[in-house]
Amino acid sequence: MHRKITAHEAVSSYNRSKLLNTRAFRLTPGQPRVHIAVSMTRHRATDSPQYSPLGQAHRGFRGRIHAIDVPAGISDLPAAELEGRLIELGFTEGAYVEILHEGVFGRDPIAVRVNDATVALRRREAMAILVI
Amino acid sequence: MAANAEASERRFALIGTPNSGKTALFNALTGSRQKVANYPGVTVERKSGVLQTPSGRVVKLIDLPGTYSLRARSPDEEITRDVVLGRLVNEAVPDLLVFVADATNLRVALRLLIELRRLGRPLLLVLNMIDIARRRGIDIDIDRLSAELGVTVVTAAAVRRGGTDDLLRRLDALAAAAGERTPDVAWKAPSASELRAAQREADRIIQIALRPAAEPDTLTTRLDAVLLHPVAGLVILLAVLFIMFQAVFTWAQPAMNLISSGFDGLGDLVHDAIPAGLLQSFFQDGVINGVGSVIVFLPQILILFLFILLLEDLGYMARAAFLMDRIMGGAGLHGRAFIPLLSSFACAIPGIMATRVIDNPRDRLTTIIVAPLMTCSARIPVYTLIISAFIPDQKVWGLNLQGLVMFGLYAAGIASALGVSFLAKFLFWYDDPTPPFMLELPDYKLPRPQSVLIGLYTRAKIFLQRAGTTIFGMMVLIWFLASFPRPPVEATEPAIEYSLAAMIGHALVPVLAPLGFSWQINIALIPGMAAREVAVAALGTVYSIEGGKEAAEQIGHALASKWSLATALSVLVWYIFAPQCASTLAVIKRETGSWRWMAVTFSYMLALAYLASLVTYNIATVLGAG
Repeated sequence: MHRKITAHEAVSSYNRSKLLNTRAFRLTPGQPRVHIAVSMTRHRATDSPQYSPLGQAHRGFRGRIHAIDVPAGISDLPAAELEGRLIELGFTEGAYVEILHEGVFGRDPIAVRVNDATVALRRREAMAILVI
Repeated sequence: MAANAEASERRFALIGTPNSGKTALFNALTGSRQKVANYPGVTVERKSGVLQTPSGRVVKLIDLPGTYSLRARSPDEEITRDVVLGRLVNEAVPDLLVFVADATNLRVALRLLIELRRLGRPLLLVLNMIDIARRRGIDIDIDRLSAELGVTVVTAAAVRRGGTDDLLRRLDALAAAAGERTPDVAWKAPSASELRAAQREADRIIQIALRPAAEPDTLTTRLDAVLLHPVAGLVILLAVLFIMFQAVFTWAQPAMNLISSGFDGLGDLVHDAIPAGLLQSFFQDGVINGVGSVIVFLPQILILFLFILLLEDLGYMARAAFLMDRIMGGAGLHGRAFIPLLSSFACAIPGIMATRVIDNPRDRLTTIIVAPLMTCSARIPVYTLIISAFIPDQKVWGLNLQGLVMFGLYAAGIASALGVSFLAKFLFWYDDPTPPFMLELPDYKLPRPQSVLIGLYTRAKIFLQRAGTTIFGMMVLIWFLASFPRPPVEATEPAIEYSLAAMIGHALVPVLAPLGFSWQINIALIPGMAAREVAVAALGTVYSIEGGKEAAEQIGHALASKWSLATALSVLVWYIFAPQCASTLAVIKRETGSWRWMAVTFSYMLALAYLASLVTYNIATVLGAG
């Protein structure tokens, strides 16, 4: 279900993205970041706003995976390949996740507990993991 | 007869996810009866060993690179896939896949096992580290697990004495049974939904056959709270690296002196045993000194690998990569490139060998081509000689000027390595996707001495084999250049001045004169190709100084009277960049498996050296140092 977003949501999405490594959101140098934030929000197949990407969560976040949904342009990998790799590391629907640690620069990368394992990944790839 | 023995030989392959303790199990099962080589055409290590079962049956065990999937995203994983599917030419499909899983972390492993099960090949699941799992209160119903998976399950604790007895008995029985060897060609990479289904199935089986620990490994959690702390973690990492760096330089010194004097003694022995002449020179200068100048680095290489193996077994290496990822990423390098680059301060050879920890081929290649820019210890004799001869021993802003210049040379090396890797990203891989950083952080484990020793032994063997072949060849070539043709009987100058090396030195004058290099310097550059520090001895020879290496001080005096400051600075800068060491180039050729990357490294370093020296010499001359 794709839905139109309001200007207000776009701005708040942009503000949230400022928490992160903003460079990760720039597809090509010089392109305004806010556009990407908007297009990412629009791409999301979320029915309810309470699902949020793990890539935006803070340290200490605990939750469950709702879906793996790779928005366009978040990683240099093709969407299907990134999805496959995330699943292979244990990121599947229903798995328990917790952000244990984050790096010092741009709070990136993050160390995530996935059920019984701990996986390190960058926030840009973690944007594909929708959590609740 | 031979064909018969070949056919009846059992071949078992160890497969599993990374960090499942596969290598520890391999070491425990085969001991030192191992062979490490490369798979043909790729630089993926092919480890195999011989295992003897309780009833005396001999089984060939192959240790496959760890993988999360048969979809194969790196050369390592392609090898695993091709061996499992029997796709390698000259390599029969294994009779049995021994699937090694960490009993404390089964979720992802069972998904991979379910994927493998579909191949219909004989499978055995080994629950490794069962001792740790039990201690943590993880309760696994082995019979239930086996029934649900439809696979025989056996427990093991590779690092415990007697921890593999059960497994050996089971392998014995399986080795006795006849195996079928049909390569699987029908295999197709699973889609995302198939992967999901396999994981769901694995989760279901875990639900019924396993009672989880009450909480995750508390030791790992507590250690990580400090070691992965954004600030404390980095400080500790730097401290670890500092200790490692210190150890490589100080601990190795006595052993290096011993090797060095051993080779000198051997040289003297040859000197006395063989009448003066060509043969004496060949054995003393070409063979013994040449190979000795490389083998002298063996203690440094072993200490470095001791640290790498300990940190790797401990589970710290993945953490170091986590901490360094963003810092290295800025220069287009992978977090894991940090250790190899650091190792290159000792010597680029172990550094380049250590790039094997980087799984992505592109990242590994970038690291390999910039590693020689890090200031290796062989540059130190050259730097020390020139600095002490030309840079006044005085204080600038309270700091020793000579020390500052030395620091500057190191800093220039680091800056250029980062710059080149940044450029390489645009030149070679501008259209390649940036590989993601995704890495499992394993629980901390105490390294097992036997495993570490086997690892060290293997590294030493690889290094010595190389010293005995490629490097030896290079040394002989360089000796040849410096010795032929022979000086005339009435020669008054040092013999090297009549040699091919001298001819090349003179021929290079028009090219290198703009850098302020005299023909004597050009000559010294040629034996310096063997190993940089040899240039010091060569300069001694060219300037007719008795005593060679020992007379460094005298050489310094001679240089101070013959070179201008601009020339000295130009030579220093040349040594930051110049591809001066033939053995490094040989290792690059071996590790990348191609002449092309060796040529790329050689050319870009030469170009950098030339430009940097040209600029330095001319600026220095303009400033009045000519």
